[in-house]
Amino acid sequence: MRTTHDQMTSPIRIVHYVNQFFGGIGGEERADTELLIREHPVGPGVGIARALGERGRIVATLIGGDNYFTERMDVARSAALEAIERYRPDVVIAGPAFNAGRYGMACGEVCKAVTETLRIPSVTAMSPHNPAVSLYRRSTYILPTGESAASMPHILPRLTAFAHRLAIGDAIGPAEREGYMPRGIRGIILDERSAAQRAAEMLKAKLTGEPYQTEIPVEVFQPVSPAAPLQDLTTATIALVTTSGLVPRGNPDGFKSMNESRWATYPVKHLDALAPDEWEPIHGGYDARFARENPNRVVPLDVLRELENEGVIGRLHADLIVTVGVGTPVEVCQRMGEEIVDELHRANVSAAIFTSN
Amino acid sequence: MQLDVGTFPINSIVFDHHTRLDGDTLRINRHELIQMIQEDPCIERAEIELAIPGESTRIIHVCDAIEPRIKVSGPGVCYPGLMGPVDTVGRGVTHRLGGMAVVLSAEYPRLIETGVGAAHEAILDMSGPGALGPIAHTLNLVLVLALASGYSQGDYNRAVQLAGLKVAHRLAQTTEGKAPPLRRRYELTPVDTTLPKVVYISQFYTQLNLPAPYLTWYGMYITDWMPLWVHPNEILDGALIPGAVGGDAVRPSSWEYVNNPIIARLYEAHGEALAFLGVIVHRTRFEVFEEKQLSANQAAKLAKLMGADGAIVTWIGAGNAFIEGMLTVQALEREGIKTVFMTYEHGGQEGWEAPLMFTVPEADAIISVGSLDRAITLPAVERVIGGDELCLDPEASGERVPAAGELRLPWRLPIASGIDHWGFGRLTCIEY
Repeated sequence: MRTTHDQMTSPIRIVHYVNQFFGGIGGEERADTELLIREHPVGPGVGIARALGERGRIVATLIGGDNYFTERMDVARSAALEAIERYRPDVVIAGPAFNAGRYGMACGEVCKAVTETLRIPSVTAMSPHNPAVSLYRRSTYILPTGESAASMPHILPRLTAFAHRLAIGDAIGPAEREGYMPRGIRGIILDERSAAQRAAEMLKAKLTGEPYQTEIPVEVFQPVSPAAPLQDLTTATIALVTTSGLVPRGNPDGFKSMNESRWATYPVKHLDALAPDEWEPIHGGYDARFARENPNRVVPLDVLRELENEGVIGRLHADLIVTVGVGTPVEVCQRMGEEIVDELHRANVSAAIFTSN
Repeated sequence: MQLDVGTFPINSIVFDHHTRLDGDTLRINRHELIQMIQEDPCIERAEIELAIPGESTRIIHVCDAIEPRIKVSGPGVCYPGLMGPVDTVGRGVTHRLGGMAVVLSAEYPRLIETGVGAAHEAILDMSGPGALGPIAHTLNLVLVLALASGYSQGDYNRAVQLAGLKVAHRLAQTTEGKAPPLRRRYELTPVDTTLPKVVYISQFYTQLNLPAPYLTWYGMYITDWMPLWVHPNEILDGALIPGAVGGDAVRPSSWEYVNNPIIARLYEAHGEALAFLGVIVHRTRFEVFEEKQLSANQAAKLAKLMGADGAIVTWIGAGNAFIEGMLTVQALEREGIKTVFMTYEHGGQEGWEAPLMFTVPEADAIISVGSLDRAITLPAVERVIGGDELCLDPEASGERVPAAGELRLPWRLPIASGIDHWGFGRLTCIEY
């Protein structure tokens, strides 16, 4: 594990990762090269060492073949981690990988692993178009480069300076200011101007055709296409799924009324309807008094049971699936949705009726 | 419509034998005010405390914060419909006490156990990381109200709100006959017709059939309303204020309504950079998607009829009401009206998750006022006003915790004015 670095006295220790090509082993014909260790700067590491000067040194260079790393990732990752741990670096640098896809993956994977497993800060550099960017930008710092090694002289001093700051524990500011690729982490800061002033100025710019930059880039969600209709209701198993927060009285799982991240199943197999003295809504986002009076208003178990008894539907699924749908982040909702789908698939449910509130 | 607002900046509040304004010191006879409040049978007991910015003080059970305003000439009253007739306000002379608020603290009995009608805890710290909104930086006269048993939630809401409005009115009366140190005229004068015309669409959520109104217009419960074109001066005179059931982060206080900084900014720019056409008050949080779409379309249509070239849209609330926000941006842009939208972000406790829960591609100019979701720890305080204990999540555990202790909040919802919906402050989010 990392020890606190005394930035005033000792030079920093760097482990540098490169592929077989930049490691001087060979081209594509040597892409299967297993992890090699050199206790000195190699290839771009020479430029890093030069930029670093007296401030630190590369204590080891790890060299891995592109195919070795991407095709045997678990093995390669373990080998890299083991070596890096041994050299106790203050920071790990990988690349630059430019627009080389497999090399970018290896750089991203090494950085991700050391940062997540060994808690050692890491930085890599590659082209914004490298496919590894979208996979690893959340896990490490990625500095943008040109498409090819022609941009090497430009990137090495910046990469070195950034790595040095990470090693000495310097606070890294927002992506745009610091020049790394946005990691998708939204951090709260204080602007110089009030939000009302910024709004008026942004509107003025938009009206007069001057440039302006939105403060929240909009991600347009993928529309969800509905599953194909059932062919035959009379043989179908129908489940009831709800975000209305309807739970057995007493709230046995302690659901919160907002921002819940869990879901639960409650048996309803023996019930013909949901009784108000046995069920209650836990929900901060709608006027729940009507659901409290008659829980079947938000979960129509009574009608579904009738339909089952009349043979209109084959069977009502034995469990009611419940969460509290209010104030929960989209990713958490997606995760719960996927888990619920798995549960329904396991139980061979053919269709679900999803009620909100 | 010409409104002169005279401001009397208040720099200290002291308890005294007579309620009067003494330069920038407001002297208050506590007993007189307490007696006035206790005339209402819904209020069993009232106490009055003072909370000063920077103090290690926490106010709990916050229901609202009201700025003392009084109409000294011209039609109607401030806070019309609640404090007097519904004459159209926004004209004449209004006095306000600047830099202070009457804060209402009352713990509602749990008559409504869950849902949007239920009262939820709201905390106002006067210093530290929780002192987020403008009402953490005002001199706060806190009315601590113990509610009598046996009344409905609607009765309590009315009683708590009127206690605040009456005290605010009494305090603002101290300015009568005095010349305000600061004076500002608000008028939508005719301006250069080539300036871009801008409307402010202020969205508010409410619901039908709540036991107490979330929001009132001249005292009238806003229910299934379509967007309404109003004069900004009506808002400055308190025609639009929230109820007093709970003042958590997604329900701005009355103080914020009458000091809306978007209105202030657009007035400043009126005749200079743009022509301010007025405000569209837009009720949101409809139950059905078609209703949401309809209300968004109607707001855009109204803006078009007003001749708007541009619009600023703000919203309040959580989740559901956000849909109308985005749909309105889309409807406005489709009408050719350039739009800026102001919102807080989600993003989860660490900021990794999606900042917005629903988007339209037309929303290309958004102002961020920070995040609701980030965890925040309120440190222990020396003094608590409003009680000894609070309950942060009555539905989940019902656990009551000491109010003076450290409070680890998983998000900012329980902080009174913890979200800056209208852009008073400088908080924003940026990508790391």
